[in-house]
Amino acid sequence: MRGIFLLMIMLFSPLSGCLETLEMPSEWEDCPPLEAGRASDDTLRILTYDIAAFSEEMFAAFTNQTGYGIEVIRADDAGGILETMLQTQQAPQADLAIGLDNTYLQTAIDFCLLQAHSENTTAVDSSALEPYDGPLAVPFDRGDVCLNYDESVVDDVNLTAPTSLWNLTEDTWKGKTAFPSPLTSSPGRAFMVATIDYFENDDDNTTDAFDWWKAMAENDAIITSGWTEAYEIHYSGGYGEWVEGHLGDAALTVSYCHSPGVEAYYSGNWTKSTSITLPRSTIHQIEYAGIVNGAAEVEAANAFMAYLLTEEINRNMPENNLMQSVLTNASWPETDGYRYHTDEPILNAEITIERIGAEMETWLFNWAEATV
Amino acid sequence: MTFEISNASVQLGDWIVFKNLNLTIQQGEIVSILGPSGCGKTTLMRACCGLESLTNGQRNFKGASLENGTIVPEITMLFQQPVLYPHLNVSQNIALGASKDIGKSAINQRVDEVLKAIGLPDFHRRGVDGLSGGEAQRVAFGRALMQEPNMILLDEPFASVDVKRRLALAEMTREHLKERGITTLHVTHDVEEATILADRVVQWQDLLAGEQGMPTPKKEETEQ
Amino acid sequence: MSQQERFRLGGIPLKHWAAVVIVITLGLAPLTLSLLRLWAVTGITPLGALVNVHQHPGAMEALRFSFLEATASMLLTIIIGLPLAWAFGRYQWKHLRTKRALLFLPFITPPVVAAVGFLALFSPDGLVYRMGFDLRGETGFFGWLSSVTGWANPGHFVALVLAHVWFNLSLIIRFVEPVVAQIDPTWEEQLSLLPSGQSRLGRIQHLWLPLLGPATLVAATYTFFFSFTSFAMVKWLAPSSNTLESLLGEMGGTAGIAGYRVETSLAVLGIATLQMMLMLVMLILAGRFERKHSQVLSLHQEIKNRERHGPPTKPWAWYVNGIIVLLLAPLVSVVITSFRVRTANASGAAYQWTLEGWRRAWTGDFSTVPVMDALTNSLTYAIMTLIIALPLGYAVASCLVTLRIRGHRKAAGLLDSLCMLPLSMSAVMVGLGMVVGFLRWFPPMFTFPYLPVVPHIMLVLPFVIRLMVPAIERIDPMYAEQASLLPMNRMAFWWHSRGSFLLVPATMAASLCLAFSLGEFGATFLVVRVGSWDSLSILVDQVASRPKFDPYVFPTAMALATILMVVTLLVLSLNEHVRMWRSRHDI
Repeated sequence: MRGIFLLMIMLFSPLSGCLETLEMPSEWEDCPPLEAGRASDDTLRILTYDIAAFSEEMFAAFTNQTGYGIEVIRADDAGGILETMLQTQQAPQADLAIGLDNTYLQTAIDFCLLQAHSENTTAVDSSALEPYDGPLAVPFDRGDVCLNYDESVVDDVNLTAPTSLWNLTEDTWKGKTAFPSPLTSSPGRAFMVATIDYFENDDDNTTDAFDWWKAMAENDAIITSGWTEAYEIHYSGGYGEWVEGHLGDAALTVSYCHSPGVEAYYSGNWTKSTSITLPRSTIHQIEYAGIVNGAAEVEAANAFMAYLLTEEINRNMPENNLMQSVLTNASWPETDGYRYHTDEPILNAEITIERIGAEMETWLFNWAEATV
Repeated sequence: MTFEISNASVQLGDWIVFKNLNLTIQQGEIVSILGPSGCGKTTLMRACCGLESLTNGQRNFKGASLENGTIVPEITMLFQQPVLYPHLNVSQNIALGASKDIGKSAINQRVDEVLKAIGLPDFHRRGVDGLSGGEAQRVAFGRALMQEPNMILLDEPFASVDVKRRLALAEMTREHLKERGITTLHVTHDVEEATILADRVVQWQDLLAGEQGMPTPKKEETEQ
Repeated sequence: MSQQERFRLGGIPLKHWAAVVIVITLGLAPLTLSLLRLWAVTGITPLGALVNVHQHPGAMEALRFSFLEATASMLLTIIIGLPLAWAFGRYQWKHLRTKRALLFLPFITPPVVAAVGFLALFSPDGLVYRMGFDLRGETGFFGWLSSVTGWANPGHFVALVLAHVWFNLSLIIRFVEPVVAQIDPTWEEQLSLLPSGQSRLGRIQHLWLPLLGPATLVAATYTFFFSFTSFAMVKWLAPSSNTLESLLGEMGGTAGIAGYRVETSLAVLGIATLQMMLMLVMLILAGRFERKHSQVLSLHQEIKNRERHGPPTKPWAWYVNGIIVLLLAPLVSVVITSFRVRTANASGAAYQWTLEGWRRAWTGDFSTVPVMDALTNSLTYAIMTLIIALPLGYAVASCLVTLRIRGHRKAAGLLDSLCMLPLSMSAVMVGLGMVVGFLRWFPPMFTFPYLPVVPHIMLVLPFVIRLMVPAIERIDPMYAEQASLLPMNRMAFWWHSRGSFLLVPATMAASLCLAFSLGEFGATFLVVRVGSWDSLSILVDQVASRPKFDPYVFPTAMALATILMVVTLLVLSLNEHVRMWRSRHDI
C-alpha cells in the first residue's frame, strides 16, 4: 500500500509546476483571426456528426465541380462538434463545422470559433434566418422539436393526451415518459429550452421549468443520455418496437414534429406515433454550417456552404437527412404519408440564441439539480 | 603449461567457496578433482571457464592472463545436466558447436563424423526430448568436440547415467580427448570414473591445501 | 569494460531501458496531460476533486453499482470458468485450435456487437426469454423479485453480469488453461497414490488449488477490473444504471475546456482520479498474484499431456461444448440479424430474409467508408500494433525479469505498476490527454492517419508484458550459459537461449495484439477523427447507432459486425496453428 501512495504522490506532486495558463476566448473583446492549425492542401476538412445526407456520391460531385477533396472529421452530435472545436481551438484542424444548432451556436460565437463566410443566403427561407442572420453561420436544415406519443396507448381510455405539460406529472403518466438529457443530447437540450419559454409564459407565476422537471423526475420520468436510447428503447410508438432491447415503457418522448411522418415514410404510410404541439412546448431547431476560425481552406469551405444550399442537395433533405430543407417554399414530401403524418407546431418557443448562450450553463446546472 | 589458476578465491555472499586455490594443467593433460557434492567443485569449474568471477586470483591460459569473468572461445564446458536445445534435433544441436567460418556442407560432414565418434550414427534427426541421460550427455559432448576446443571442463558429466554405462562413457571420452589432445579439467565424486578418465587425480581437500594430485596408472601403461 | 557491458545499465541492455521509457511515457503522458488540463480548468487539484467527488450527482451510486456488478461478474466467471479451463486444458479435444479461438472471440468482440446479440437473446423471440427469464422487460420472476425486494431492475443487473461473464471467460482460459495443459502428469499420479490424494476433494485441495490458484486469482482480478470499468455494455443492457466509466463517458466530451461547463471538468477530475486509484490497487494486486503464478515449475509438453489424458469424458464434453455453443449464441444472433429486415405497416410487422444489408455494408451506402476500406484500416492498425507492441512488451518484460533476478524487487514492482497504468485510465482521460498533448506540441498529429495505433499499443502492452514475464522467468538460465560457451553471434545467442522458448507466448501475445486491435472501439473512437480512417469496429458502431427509421440500417450494421467477427476468428485461428505447431518443441 505504501507503494501505491508513493506512486500517487509521485504522479501528482510534480504536476503543480506544470499548470498551463489557459486563455478564455469567451472573455476576448474582439475575435481575432486564429492561425490555421495545418497547411493548406486543397482538401476541405468538415467537422460534423454522422449526417445521412452526406454520401460518397455527394462528396464526389463536389470534388468534381470544385477540385477540392473532402475529409470528414467525425463528432458524436451537435454538442460534440462544439466540444471538438473548443478543444482544438489553439490549432484548428477542421475548416467547416456542420451541425451546430441554435442551442449551441451562440456559444460557438462567444468563444470566437467561427469566422465570416461569403455566401449569400437569399435562397434561404426567412424563418430559418430568424434565430441568426449574421455572417458567421448559414442554416442548412431544420426541424421542430416536439413531444411524440403513442396513439395506441394514449387512446383516451388508458391515457389521455396532455393538454398541459403539467398533466405529465400526474399519476397516470408515472414512469411512462422518456426524455433525453439536455446535458448530453441536442434534442433534449432543445426541448429543455422550450420548457423554459413554456413555463415563463404559462398562467402560473409561482413555478418555472425546473419545478416541472423536478416533478417529472419525482414522477419517474425516464432520463436517457441520448435521443436514440429514449426513442428506440423506451418509446413504444416508434420503430423501436422492432429493435433488439426495446422496452417500450414510455408512451411519450422527445423527438421531432415530423418524426411520425418519417415513421410512416418507412412503413408504407402507417404509424401509431403522433406529435403534441402545445404552444411553446415545441422549438424550432436549425442546424448551421460555419467556417472555423483558423480554417486552412476558407475558399473550399465557402464553396461547400454554397453547395449545401443548392436545390439539388438541400431540397432533398427530408429524404436524405430526415430534416426539412431551409430553402424557400420547402415542403415535406407526400410519399407514403410523410407530410400527412407530420404535425406543424402551433407556436414555437421564442428564446433568442443570445439568451440561450448567456444562460445555458445555469439552466443545465438547474436541470441537473432538479432531476437528481 | 596450458592452463593455470592461481591464488584463486570465490566468495558467494557470506560463503567462501574456496580460498587461495592453485591448479596447473599441462597441454593435453586430463585432470580430475574428486570431492563430495556441494564442496565447490562446480563453482571452480565455472570460475575456470569464466561463467563465475573470481573474488581474488588469476587465470592464465596459453601463457596469457585472462580477464576475470570473461569467456574465451577455446575453453568450453559440459554441464552436469546436458543442456540441449529442445527446438533443435540432435544434429542441429551438435552443429551449434561449429565455427561460423565453416560452410554448411563441411558442418554436415563434421556432424556425421562426430555422431559416429560418440556412437550415435543414426541419431541425426532425433528430437532431443526422447534421449536417455547417457545419449543426451553424449550429444552434448559431441557438440563440445565440434567446437574443437583447446580445453574442456567436464562437470560430473556422467552423473545422470547408470553405473555400467558411466564407465564405458568415461573410457570413450578419454579416448576422444586424448586423440585430439584436448586439455581437460574434470570434477566428480566417483573414484572409478576419475581413475579411468584422468591422467592425474587430486582430492578437493588436497587441492585446497596446495597439492596438485597424483598420476593415475592407466591400463595401457600397466600392460606395458 | 566489454563491448556488451558498454551498452548496458545495471545488466540490462540500454535498448530495453529505452523501451521502458517509451512504455511509461505512453502511459504517463496522456494521464499527466489530462490531469494538468483538468486542474488548470477547474483550479482544483486531483486529490481535492477526489475528496469532493461524493457531491457529484450519481457518483456514489455509480461506485456502488460498479463494485456490485464487478464482484458478481467475477464470482460467476470463476464458478463457470474454472472447471471450463481445467477440462479444456486437460483433455485431448477435437478441433482444439478452433475451440480455443472461439473461446477467445468474446473478449475481442466489440461491445456494440455483443450487446445487440444479447438483446436478441433476451427479446421475446430469444433463447433466454423462452427459457422463462424476461431479463429485459422484467416480467415474471424478475418482476416479482423487484417488487418483493425493492431492487430496481434486477433483470438488467443479471443481464449485465451474464454479459460480463461471457466476455471474461476467455481470461480464465488464457491464464489457467496453459497451466493445466502443461503440468507434469506424474504429479497427479503420485498424489493419487498418497492418502491425501485418494479423494477428488483431496486432489483439489492438495494439487489443483495450489497450482491453479495464482492463475485463477490473476484472471479473477482482471475480470473484476474489466467489469468494473464496463461502459458500453452498461449502456445497452442496464440503461438505468451507471458504472464510473459510463458516467465518465457521458461527461467526457465537455471536460477540459477552459470556461465551458467547468463543473463537468471538476466531476471528471474527481471521478477519474477515484477510478484510477481503485484500478491501480487492483492492478498491483494482479501483478503480485501474477508473480506467484510465474513460479510454477516443471512444465511439460502440452500435446503429450493431452495424449496421456485422452479425450474428455462425456460430462466434460457436454460442459465445454455447451459453453462454447452458449458463447456463440449472441454472435449467431448477430449473423442471423444481418440477413433479416422488418417490414411494418398497419397490419403489423413481419421479417423478411434479405441480402440488402450485406450489399449496403459492402458498398458503404450510408455515407461511410466501404467495408473493404474499413477492413484495410483495421488490419493496418492491427499489424502496426503487433509490430510495435510485441518487441516493446518483450523488452519491458525482459527488463522486469532482470531487475527481479538481480534483487531489485521494489524497482521491478514500481516499474510493473507504471507499465500497467494505461489499463487504469479511463478512455476519456486517454483521449483528452492525447488531444491536449498533440495540440500543444504537434498539431498535425491530430489528423495523423495512424494515430489510432497509439491507444491500441497503450492498451495492449500491459497484456503483452503480463504474458511475457512468466514465460521469460520459466526459461532455464542454463540455456544462456551454455550458449555463451558456443560460437554464436548475438542474434543466434538470443534465439537459442531465449527467443525459441518465447515463441508460444509470443504467438499468444501476437494474437492478443491483433484481435484486440481489430475489435478495439473506445479509445479508437476518441482519436480517430477522420472518417476515411474508420476501423471496422468504428464503422459497426457508427451504423448501429443511426436512427433506425430505415429498416436496413440494422441489418447493415450486423453485416459489418459479422465481417469483423469472421476476420478476427481467422486471425485467432491462424495464431493457434502456430502455437500448437511450436508446442511440439516446447519444454
